[in-house]
Amino acid sequence: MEYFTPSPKKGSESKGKIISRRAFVLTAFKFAFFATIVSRLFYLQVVKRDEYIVRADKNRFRNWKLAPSRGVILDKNENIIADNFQVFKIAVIPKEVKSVNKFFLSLSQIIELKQEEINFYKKQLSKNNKYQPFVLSRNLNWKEFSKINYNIQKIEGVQPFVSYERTYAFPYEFSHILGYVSAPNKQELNTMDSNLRGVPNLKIGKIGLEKKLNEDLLGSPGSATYEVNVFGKRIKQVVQEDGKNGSSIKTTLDKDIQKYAYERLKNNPGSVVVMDITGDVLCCASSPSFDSNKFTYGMENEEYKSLLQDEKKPLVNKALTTVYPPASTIKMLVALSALENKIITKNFLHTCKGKVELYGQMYHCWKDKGHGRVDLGGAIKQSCDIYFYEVARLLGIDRLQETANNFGLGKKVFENFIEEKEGLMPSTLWKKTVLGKPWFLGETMIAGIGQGYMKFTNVQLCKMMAQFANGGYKITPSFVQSEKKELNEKIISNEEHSEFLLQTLYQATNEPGGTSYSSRINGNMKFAGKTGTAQVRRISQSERDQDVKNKDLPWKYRDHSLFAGFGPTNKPKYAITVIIDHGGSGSAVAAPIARDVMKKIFEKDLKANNV
Amino acid sequence: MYRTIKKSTFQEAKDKLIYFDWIFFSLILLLICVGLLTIHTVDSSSTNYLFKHFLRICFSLGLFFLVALVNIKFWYRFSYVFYLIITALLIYVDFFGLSALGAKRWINFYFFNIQPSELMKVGVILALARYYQYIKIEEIDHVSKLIIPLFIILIPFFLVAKQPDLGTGIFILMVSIGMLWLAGLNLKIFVTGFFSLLVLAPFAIAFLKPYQKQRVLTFLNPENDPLGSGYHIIQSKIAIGSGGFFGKGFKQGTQSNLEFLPEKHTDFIFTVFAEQFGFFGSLMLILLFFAIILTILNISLKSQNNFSRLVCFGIGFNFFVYLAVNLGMVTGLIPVVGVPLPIISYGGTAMLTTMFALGLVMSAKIHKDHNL
Repeated sequence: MEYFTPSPKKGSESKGKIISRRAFVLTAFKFAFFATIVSRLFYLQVVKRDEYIVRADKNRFRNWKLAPSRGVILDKNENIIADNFQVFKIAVIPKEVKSVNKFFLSLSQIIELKQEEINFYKKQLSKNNKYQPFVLSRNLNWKEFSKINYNIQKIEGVQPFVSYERTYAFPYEFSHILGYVSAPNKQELNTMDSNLRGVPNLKIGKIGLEKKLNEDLLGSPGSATYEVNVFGKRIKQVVQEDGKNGSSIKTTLDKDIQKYAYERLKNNPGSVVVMDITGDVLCCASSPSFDSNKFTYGMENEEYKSLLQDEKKPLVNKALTTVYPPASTIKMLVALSALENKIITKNFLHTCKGKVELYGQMYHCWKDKGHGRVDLGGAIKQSCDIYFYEVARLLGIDRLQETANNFGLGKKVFENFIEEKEGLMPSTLWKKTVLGKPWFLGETMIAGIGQGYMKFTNVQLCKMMAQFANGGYKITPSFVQSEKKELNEKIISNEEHSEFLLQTLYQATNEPGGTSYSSRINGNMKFAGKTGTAQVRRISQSERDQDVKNKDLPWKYRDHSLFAGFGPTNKPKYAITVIIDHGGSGSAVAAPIARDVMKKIFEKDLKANNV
Repeated sequence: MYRTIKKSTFQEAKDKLIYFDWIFFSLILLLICVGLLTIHTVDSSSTNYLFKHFLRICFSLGLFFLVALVNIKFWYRFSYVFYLIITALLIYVDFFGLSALGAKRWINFYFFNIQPSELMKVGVILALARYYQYIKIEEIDHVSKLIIPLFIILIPFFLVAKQPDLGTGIFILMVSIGMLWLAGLNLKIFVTGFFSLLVLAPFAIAFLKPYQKQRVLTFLNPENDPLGSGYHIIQSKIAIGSGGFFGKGFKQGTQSNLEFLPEKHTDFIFTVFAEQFGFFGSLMLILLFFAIILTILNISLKSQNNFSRLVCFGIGFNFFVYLAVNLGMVTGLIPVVGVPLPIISYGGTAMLTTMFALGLVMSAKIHKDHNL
């Protein structure tokens, strides 16, 4: 105690006492402050310890999800048609950078970045979720990638990574049916499995098979936890969790046929569908097309706009999305319906004079002079319209609708194709409930030649044709290889009817006078089919008088050219449908394409059998 | 008679060493070791802080001994001159100083940069102690006796605040107020002064630079802007808190190793220490500091003249304000102002000033029986 006792000298006694006294007060104050600091430390380090440990870990650990490699898509012969290529990318998590401007500034010092590019990224970044990694759409080359890795300390928050990008082997040929992949949008992100969120560079199928089979192709993401420093540089890896790559899928498509069909279509906007009689789709080509790789590797805005605005609609899958009046290709179904419902027999005779009047309305045959007296076989072979007006009149729309429904017309052929359209098979009930109007007899008559309200997609027609060709068994077409399907549900009750109709089609293609005689295939393997020429608008009397040629009309007013056929005729195995938008007559445009594609298939089959 | 016998300088120094306070000196040495250890944990081959810090310590220790062995009488006579020299340096800084971060604070000497505002903290103490040495207690509250001290305080305050370095300015003000209080001014004067300050505060705020206002606002709510100005406080609290009771271990501090801590080798060095050694280590460190302050108190109480006493109290208070502001800042109790932790923090002038001041205390101890 004596240590603290002051011993003041004379003269300054009173003042020294004051100083000492005040120093004690001050020391007490200091002591109080130290006590405060110590209790503050106690609060931070003992009371709140766990909370701060969590926050420190949040600082230093970064979970980086690894996008799974998307499943490969194969054709029926195991050729790869959709693959993945390695790409070098950079990402940034907006939450982890203090200033976006600074990020791009320092990035542009390392790699070359145009100002527009930066502006574009900034705009996108502002829409990005703060916690989601934002991936710069641009792919880096190896030199840039290694430069960034080397200079990673200088760019706060940058995450260079290696990823895989969907790459299509035949970007034009398969673009519609395979579709393409792209980054998920906000809505898709919300409905997505939660562990897929935050995966950098995750691409999901947007359309086509990529979309339909997305779940299987996607796989599940892996993740790695890194210890990082304040600049986001990885110091060491802490945990690694492997994901599961997407499973590869073997489709029923045939690369060669698809390629050939697309080649053949090239100058004609339209589509070709080929399926075998059990429903496996071999070919589903649509033209004109686009480069589906550009959806993963980037496309100029201008180019995308011009694709959207093109009147020939290159982005639309014409086999699944566009609906057409079936025209004369429906005649087989009308005939079948009439036979099955015992309205007529195959010997039913009717006279065609080129036109017929009903309640003041004139109905024309495609042949002005008329076909004379024809039976059912002759009417199909020569595609006589007057005969089918009569059959339809006798049959009635509702019975025809029932048969059409059995064949799957006016209904979706596949499941989960967002771009597939239903088409329409009208009935009296439909018109009453949907349009609120009564059905007219004239509408039944033109339905007999596939005009009017009737609108089908190419795949519906092909399914119909395949069901004729397999002898009248219901099929469920698909793109994915599975166990051999069984054909057991019959939709044609009398086998004679189907045999008769196939026989008639054989005559239409392989006997003189048939509508597609000029497109026959010579040799052991023959094919047969029905042509169709669909009007897209009413032909006025004056045009009939002037005999306006189809090719003189503006493109969008020209007739659609259709063909539905099957082959080989002796033992039907494939059904084919070709529709050319505004192509003109079915026999002149669609039938030759169908013949060439069918010939190619035959050649391939022969080769396979010989080997 | 005693004075006429000329002793050899060596003999004189030997005599003085008898009065040398070895406990006080060992406490300082212990603190220096803690400082070196902590600097070592944030050092890397590219920064080379440890070596530079060590050099500065050697230099400062030399200064410490020099000041300690010089008679306190010399400092008494020299105090106004010392004050005026530093005032001149402050004025010089305003015109020719090195600027950094928008403030002119440094003078470039050949081997290191000197911050006169830092030295001024001791300058004010010396000048005020000198002034109050012979003021009689009856006269001390008289207005005429207040004018000179006010000038002594306000001239450096405005010079420093103008740099702009409001933090150091307020620091000088606080130390000065502490000195006036110790000198024995009536409590009424402080109360009056406090209330007039309150009235003047709104006008003062108008003169604050935007970044200074920002600092105050950020202090009030640091979580508001976690990546902006509140970042320092948040990261510092995380580092301290995650240290826990016994700390993460020597060199195991993640917050400092991964560079999440800003200014970790200078103003936030305590955070680095607390993260590695936990509550226990921090408590020991604070006790060490407190022991030094108590030793200074003891020395001042034993001094025979009011000058020594006032200087020691002033330096003890100065030391305390350093600690209080620094620890308060890193634990988030007061706003971020750039004040280093004495002796531990990396930095030249603060180290030099602290050791100079402690040297003065030691001188007061050695020469406690001398008259002025």
